[in-house]
Amino acid sequence: MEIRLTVNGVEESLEVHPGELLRTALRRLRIYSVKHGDETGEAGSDAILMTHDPETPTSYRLVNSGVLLAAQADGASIITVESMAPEEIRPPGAEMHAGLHPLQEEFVTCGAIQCGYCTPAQLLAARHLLDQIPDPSEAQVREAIAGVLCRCTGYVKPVAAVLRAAARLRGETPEPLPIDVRNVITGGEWPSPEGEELGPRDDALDLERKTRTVPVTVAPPQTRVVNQPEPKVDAVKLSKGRPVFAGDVEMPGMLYGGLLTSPHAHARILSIDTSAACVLPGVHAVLTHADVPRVIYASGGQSYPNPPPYDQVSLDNKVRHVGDRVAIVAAESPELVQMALERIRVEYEPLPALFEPEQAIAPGAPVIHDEPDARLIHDPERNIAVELHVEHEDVDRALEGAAHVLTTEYRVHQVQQASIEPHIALSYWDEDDRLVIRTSTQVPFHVRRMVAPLVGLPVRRIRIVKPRIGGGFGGKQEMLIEDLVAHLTIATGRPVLFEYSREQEFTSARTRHPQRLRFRSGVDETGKLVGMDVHVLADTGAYGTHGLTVQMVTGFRALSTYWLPAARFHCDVAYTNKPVPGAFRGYGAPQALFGLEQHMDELAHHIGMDPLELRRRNWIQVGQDMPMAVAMGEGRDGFPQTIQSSGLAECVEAGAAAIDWDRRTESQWCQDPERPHIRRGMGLALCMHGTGIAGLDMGAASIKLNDDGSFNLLVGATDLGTGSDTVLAQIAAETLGVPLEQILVYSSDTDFTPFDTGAYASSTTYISGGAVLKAAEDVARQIREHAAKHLLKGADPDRVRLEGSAVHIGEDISVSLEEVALHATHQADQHQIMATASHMSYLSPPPFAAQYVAVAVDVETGQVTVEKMVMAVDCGIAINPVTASGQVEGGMTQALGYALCEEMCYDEAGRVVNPRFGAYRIPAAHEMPDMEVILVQTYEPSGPYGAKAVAEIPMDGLAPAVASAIYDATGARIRQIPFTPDRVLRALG
Amino acid sequence: MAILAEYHTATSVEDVLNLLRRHESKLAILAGGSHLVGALETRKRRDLDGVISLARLGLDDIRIENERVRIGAMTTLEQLNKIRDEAGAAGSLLSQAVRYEGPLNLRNQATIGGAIALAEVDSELYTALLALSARVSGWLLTGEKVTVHLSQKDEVAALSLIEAVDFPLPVDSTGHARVARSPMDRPIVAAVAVRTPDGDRSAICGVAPYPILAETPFDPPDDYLADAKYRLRVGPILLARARGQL
Repeated sequence: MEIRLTVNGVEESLEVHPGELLRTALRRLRIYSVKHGDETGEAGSDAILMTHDPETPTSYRLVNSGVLLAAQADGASIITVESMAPEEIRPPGAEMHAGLHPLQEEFVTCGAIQCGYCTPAQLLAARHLLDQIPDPSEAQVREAIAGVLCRCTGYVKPVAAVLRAAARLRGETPEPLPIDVRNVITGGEWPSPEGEELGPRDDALDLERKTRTVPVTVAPPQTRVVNQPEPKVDAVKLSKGRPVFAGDVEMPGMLYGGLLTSPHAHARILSIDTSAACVLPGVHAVLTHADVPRVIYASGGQSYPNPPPYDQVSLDNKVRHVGDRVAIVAAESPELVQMALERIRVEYEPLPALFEPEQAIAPGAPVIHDEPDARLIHDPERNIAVELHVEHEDVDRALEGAAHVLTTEYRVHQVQQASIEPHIALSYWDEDDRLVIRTSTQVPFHVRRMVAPLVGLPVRRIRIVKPRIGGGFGGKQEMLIEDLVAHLTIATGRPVLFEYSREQEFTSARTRHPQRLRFRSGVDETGKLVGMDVHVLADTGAYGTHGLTVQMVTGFRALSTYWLPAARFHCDVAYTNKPVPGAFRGYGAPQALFGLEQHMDELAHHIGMDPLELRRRNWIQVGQDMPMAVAMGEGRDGFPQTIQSSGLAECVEAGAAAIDWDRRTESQWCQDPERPHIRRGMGLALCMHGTGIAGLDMGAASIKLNDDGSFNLLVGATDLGTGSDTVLAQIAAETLGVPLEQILVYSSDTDFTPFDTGAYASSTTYISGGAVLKAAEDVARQIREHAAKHLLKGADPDRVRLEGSAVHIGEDISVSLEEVALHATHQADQHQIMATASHMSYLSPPPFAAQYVAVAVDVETGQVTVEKMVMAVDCGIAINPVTASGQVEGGMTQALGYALCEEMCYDEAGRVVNPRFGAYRIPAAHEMPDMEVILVQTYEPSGPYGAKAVAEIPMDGLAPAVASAIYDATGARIRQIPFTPDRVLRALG
Repeated sequence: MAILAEYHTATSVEDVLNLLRRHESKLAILAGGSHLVGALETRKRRDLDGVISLARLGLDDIRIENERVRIGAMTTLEQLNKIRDEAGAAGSLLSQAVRYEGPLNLRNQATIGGAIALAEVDSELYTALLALSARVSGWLLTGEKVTVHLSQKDEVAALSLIEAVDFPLPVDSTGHARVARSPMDRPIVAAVAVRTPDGDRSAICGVAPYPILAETPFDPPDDYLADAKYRLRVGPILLARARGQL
């Protein structure tokens, strides 16, 4: 049927089929700003403004083009973000922001854009609001954008951007964006309850606590680009809705891919009949386990060799969870794909299924991995994928001598990363018969290495291109769909676009590991820990990917935040017939800290000590070793680690002031006389994370000087919305003495950028940034030498400096980088000034944080409402305070969902019963608590410009802080998350 | 993935009924589409050959006359805010209730007719309409036009096409209480109370497969949000709170 649309003022006529979505139709019209986030409308990333009465401008309504049929829009006028900055190409000489709408400008400058996938829809929602209400309140802004879910920002900066844009549109000058950055205080620490002031230790060497002298902290750097709130280098194009994501391309002859998934939790496939699917005109391939090579692999996007077990194949003759792979299809339209998938007849032999790890490891349980070719499963007969056991000194003896010993147990649940952009990949053969996979991945180089054997191609015939990523959070640290799309291109010879549905994100992608954690620890008479024993039973679902390393991190985090003379970690990682956990922001630490921080609270109450005082007496300090670091690397031995920077004490102090910690003792605050069923409380959790994986992560960078004094920076690092491209460019710009816009970042492409392990483990700023720093220093040296020799009269290159896009000697003599570049390439000693550098580190300096919350508990219904959350974070020097604070805000918001409302739930057959947004509740803009972030800067001597990590630590502390706050409010200790109303009410009795 | 062979734009009630009679269950009515299109896309609905759009029937008017509020079935949830002031306490209650149905972009698409047809277990709008003594008018497949009370669930479900919902004014005061996983989440249980010159009336959702009047026996679902025991426990508490606000 033919419909007529007016899109951004242009009349269009197009043929649609009755079931075609408006979103699909718009994308066929090259309106790529409308993004697929889900099929049911809760994501809102495909929102548009639409009216059937364009003569009345106020009649435009914000609607989701993904839950509207194209036919419903017949005759409508539609506005998308493409119309907000109509200047298609920035004219020569124009600023980056030229032509942007004030909303777009403010989104760029406020750091409101992280991955940018939801940005066009947020902008439209905001524009619609400001058209109606020029002076909106914050609540009205939040209400307006509430239907556009953002998984990155925590909504703080988008809301600020809208309010500032509104002010500008009214002709006012908005207040500067507040970013709370504090430099560490050198004198004084958190006062103890007894009023004892605890200054720095007098002795430089503490044999008992194994403290040794380390470099002193230094003053904040005097920098021009680093430590400055530079706008993200990719923000302008994202604000325009440019086609930058994996699905934003079309190719001639492109097919669509789809996956048939298992309806059974555990079954053997007896037969598959694909004939009815194959005969459908337009279906080009239907592949099953009989059609693809059987190559055993581990799917985690991790360094070579991948940690065991090796327990997967592309397509198998057995399914191990609902949502497991059965068959794949390539066809000429998504509808044909669906029809073909529904015509595949599979005969299953259902097998007994296991959904709880205790059940799975019990004697006589059905064996989930009985295939003979799986390798390095710890004990397949007992469904144990991995067993971890690490000891430092004699814990049992230490606890025997303790004044007090306490044992407590906790349970953490399964949640999903829920990036708004689902997994998506496009594969095609290039003109040299090389397989190109353009994929939304955090780990392009791992993917190339891992796909090669599965599809029978040498690595040299595979190219992985990583475009912009619409969020990952660990979920895309996996070789998840790239083998499938590659098989389809190889089978058909055609380009194939393959994308998960939202339901498949829950059933067939990756999640966070559920765990049962038991803590046993002891303290001496003074409250100093003498030992801790942590026992974990983890659930790795149907496959063991990341099962070893996530749980190793759990152990390391549980046993390193507080200094322990003796420690033991034991973990059984069990298979079950559930969708598969993998990497998820925090990577084992949120689980560990939920247990650890509650255990410390309980221990404090057990011995009658203030919980903060107990922590203060035991938290790890500058100069102390982390004994478990040596024993607990990620999948291999680790390396010795000594704390060289910590602002933890200052974080505790700053956070306490921000949340008004003393108020928790005021009866008027604790119990609202107007609402007698409401009790208020506050909670605190301390956090410590890592910065990259010591001795394992490696990043490389190339920098070359261009004719005009600009630089190309090529990095294998993958910016998944975090702003790492910007941070890396800032490091390069600072080192090379140029403004940020002189650095042109490209990331990442296995053909053109140097290797990087990828975006995970909070490593990019520290590891990849280290590589950028080295490469930039090398280029700077080459520039100085060439300029000094040829353009500065033979000056001593060590006495010249790079500043303001020029090479200077003294105050009066300088030569521009453009002159140096042209001279070096055309006039003398001709060569390309460029450098490539690699960086790895045997250190993983921990960022620290104090997480505070204030909650209100409805003691009659069990509903917990977080009213305020404050996180004070020591991330070293923040290379970009805006992106760093944005990371904390977004991470805390994910952690809020983890604590309160996000949970994958199952029926008795192992089916996820809430595989959609809404039912799986992630926080929306209009229900966020007051949120405050404080960056407490220390100087990490091993990091580029003093930086440590910031990306994952905000995920770690909220759940235990909420647990403590609930206890503070009600006296009920809840040892299992999430704190849903029914669970809380049960605990209240 | 929506796989449809037919899309009909009805221009009259008779048109709709004829199409429904001709195709029987193979066609479904498309109101706003916020729910149905999602169900088609996720293949929860695979039984349909096509849909019948009501967009040109003009059922989106809101009138207050003769001390009754009449809302056309195709009125979007967001449009209900139009009567926030005119309808007094009832208008405020509806504005509050629709806010919990979903965010603005879904409210701009979802219709009150759709909300009535779906009768979702957690619909606070439906619950509010029950408490407001709402009636539903519409047509049976035979073409007979009928008006039934919203509380007559089976009779409402028998309507092939909903025309409008109406309820009486004045409303003196209202009360509303809820429990949910997060502040703007759909409720696990929610209660609404309404005081009119004729007396008080309360309704509740989350304690039966669909919203019910408070005096109806509870038949709570046992699902991933909460078990039946929990719902039975908090239902009376929330009803008491809602009534306490009158």
